[in-house]
Amino acid sequence: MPTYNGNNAYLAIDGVDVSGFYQTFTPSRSMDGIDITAGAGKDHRQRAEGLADGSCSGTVVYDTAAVNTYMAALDVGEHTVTYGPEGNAPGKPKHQQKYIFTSIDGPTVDIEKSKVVFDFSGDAADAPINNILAGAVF
Amino acid sequence: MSETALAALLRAIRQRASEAGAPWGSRAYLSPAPQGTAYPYLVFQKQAGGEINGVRARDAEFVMLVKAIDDSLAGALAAATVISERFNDAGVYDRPAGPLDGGADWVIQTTTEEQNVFYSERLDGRLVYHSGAQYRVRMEAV
Repeated sequence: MPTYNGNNAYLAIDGVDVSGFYQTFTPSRSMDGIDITAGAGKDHRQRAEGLADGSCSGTVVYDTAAVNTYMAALDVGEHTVTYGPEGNAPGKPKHQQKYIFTSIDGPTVDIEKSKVVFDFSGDAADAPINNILAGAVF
Repeated sequence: MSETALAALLRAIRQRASEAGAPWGSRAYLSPAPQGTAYPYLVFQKQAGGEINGVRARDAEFVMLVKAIDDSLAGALAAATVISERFNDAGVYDRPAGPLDGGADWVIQTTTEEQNVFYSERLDGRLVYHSGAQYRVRMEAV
């Protein structure tokens, strides 16, 4: 199959479907390497896996007809995010995780009438419920 | 969806241009005007734009030229004032009472006057003046 170049993603926050209003969403995973270099004569660092971690960031537009249905789900605090880059049809890749939204910027209005959006970012509150990188699907 | 964004916008401009009280009367045309049209008259045309892909819904942004043509300098400039009043800040988010009508399929969100248009030319031995502006129009499908 060809490389995916689409925007038919599924994005829900606390069960509120914001698929029609997102502009970007990125879930991120990270892990520190723990230095375990030991013993004499070593000439290369050794590391072991540390704790896994995660974060997310995204942009959602301000839709005047629907904003009251999803604005609360963007506020700082713990939220469950469900994300499918190819949509949420059965069998499509799925990522679901609790995040603490640590910042939300917007809605910002400017004199040049740019699209009004919310920019949010968060840190993982726990391990993924469904890890897309481990093959989780809808 | 029964019409494209451009179709909805052209109709909305024609409708607003044809409202009573304009110096050009009913002489408002998608450019060019018919041969022999009396002065003043108004023409409009698309300069640029199309789908902008800013959201999942269909959305569009156009730059439209709307100008009056008159053989009187004072008349052309006065007509440009009326054009500005009718088309600048005329979207639903600019002018909630009486915005441009995008029809059943489209919402005309904002219109913003940008470049001023003014020039003169000699036509059939007399000076003719073009006066109006370019308008940036943002639309989204209903």
